[in-house]
Amino acid sequence: MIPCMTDSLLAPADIEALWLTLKLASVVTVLLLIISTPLALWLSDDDTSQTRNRSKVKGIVQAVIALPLVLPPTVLGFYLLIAFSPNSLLGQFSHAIGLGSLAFSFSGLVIASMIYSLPFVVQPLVNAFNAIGPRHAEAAATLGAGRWDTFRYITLPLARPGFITAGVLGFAHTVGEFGVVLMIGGNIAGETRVASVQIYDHVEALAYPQAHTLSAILLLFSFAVLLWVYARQPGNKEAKAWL
Amino acid sequence: MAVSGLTTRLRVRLEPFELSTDITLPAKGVSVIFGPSGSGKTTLLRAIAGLQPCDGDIWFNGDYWQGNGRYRKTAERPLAYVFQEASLFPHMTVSENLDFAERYTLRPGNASKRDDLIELFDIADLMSRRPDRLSGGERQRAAIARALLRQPDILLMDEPLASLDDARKHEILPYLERLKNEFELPIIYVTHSAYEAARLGDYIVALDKGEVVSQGELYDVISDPKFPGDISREAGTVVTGTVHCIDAKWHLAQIRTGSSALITVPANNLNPGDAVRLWIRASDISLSHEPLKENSISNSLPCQIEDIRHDPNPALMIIRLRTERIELITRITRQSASQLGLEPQMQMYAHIKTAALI
Repeated sequence: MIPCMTDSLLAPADIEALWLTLKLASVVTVLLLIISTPLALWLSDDDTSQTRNRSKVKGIVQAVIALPLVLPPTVLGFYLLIAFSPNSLLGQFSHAIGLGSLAFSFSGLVIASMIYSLPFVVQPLVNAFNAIGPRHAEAAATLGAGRWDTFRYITLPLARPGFITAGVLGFAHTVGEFGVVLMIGGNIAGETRVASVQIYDHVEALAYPQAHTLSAILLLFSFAVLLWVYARQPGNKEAKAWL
Repeated sequence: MAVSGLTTRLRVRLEPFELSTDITLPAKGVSVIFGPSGSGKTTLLRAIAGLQPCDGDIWFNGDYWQGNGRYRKTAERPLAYVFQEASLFPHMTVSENLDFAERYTLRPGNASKRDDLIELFDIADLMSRRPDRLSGGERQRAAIARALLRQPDILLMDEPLASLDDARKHEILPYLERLKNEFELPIIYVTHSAYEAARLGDYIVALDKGEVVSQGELYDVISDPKFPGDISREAGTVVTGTVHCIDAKWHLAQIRTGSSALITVPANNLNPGDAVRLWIRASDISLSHEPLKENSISNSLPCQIEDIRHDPNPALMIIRLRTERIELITRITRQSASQLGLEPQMQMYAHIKTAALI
């Protein structure tokens, strides 16, 4: 996965941390795209009936989804730690279904990352569905297509750019996660020690060359992702010229 | 309740008024829902299609679409819909758009239909193009063909020409006429254009501020001075006839509307025997006691005054005239009516300044 020339710079523990980061971000992105799609469809649905009651509920849901954007990761991590404790409902439930303890585990990290990255996936999808508007779905209904067919053949392909943006942002944001991981994941090699935590360890141990390498990899990755996302915005020629 | 046709009894809250209708449309021909913008006509059509929530009953050919404890979703109503703006799916070619409609056709196994429609709407050359590579008129032709591929029991059309410029409108109108003449398909056609209503309609429902102000057969409604819109411009008479002969020297066609009445119009591309509709505006007819010999008006018809009414404009009168086969309305000033001494049953000559072919 990592080219040979970096072998000298990347210790096996670094590669393990990168690999874990990749795995975590992939699992989180796939799960988030699945749960965010119906959520975003509901949030973007401007059905004229019962508009008032629904828009109130929608406002609350939108605020909750956006919380990770403003909350310190430590606050989110603290509450999750409490929620994951073996005595809590969630802790008992995860034991009952055989996931074991969620705190300081990969499963716990997945759940925490999903909450943490949710707004980055939901918002691009809401924007995409709003941009499509109700017109094409109405046309499909008048041609006899049911809800599922309309979603599969009309909404999904038209919202494809939104799905790609949502996936990329969700993935990148999960890669960049640090505070929540530290709070609820701790620092267990191969289980919860992701790249951002590994960099922190290197710096604490004054291993600057290793910290440099991992940081540079994350920096380049994040910049490439953002450049790609912005270049995809229609009419953004300056960013496109770089790709 | 009628045995066939579409009956609606609807209420829709529609700021700043409420759309409230109780109408029955015939099960054949073109029913035009006519009214100025904001009159609620598109809302009515959307409610019929199930795209707009409403209270009330909708009943089509013996089947409740809404009411009597039942509600059919849009996809479950045997209709097709042509939207005002282009509604082709932008990520599909024209051909794929047609495939999509064919998947849900209400009469499977009628395979020849597709080729017929492609030919009828002249879209064979457009099949592999995406909607953004089509002109407005081409898009609308493809959208109408797509709607018909569903093989619906009724076709709803929401101002299909309103987003097109005049040249494109005249490009599409002949296709709509073919659609009307070649398919035994009831059509509900929403428009704010009296011209389109007169050219295509058989039955008219005129809406204003959410209420039905008049409804009935085209010939009755459109000559009714209560017909909404800019009355002085829009009131008029639709006359049907056949082309009697063509005067090649002057490029004129004589239209026979009865055994003797002839109306002369520019020949355009007409041929003897063609069936035509003429639109004669109330303001384009004048009256005299004697036939005029020398004037620029070439159409003079003997007629009898049916009745005389006051116009909403206090300077004008509305006169209904009956000729051998056709009924005309004219709007003249009260002053001329008084000078001519007009009375019901009086024999007069009606002079038609222009008659527009529609």
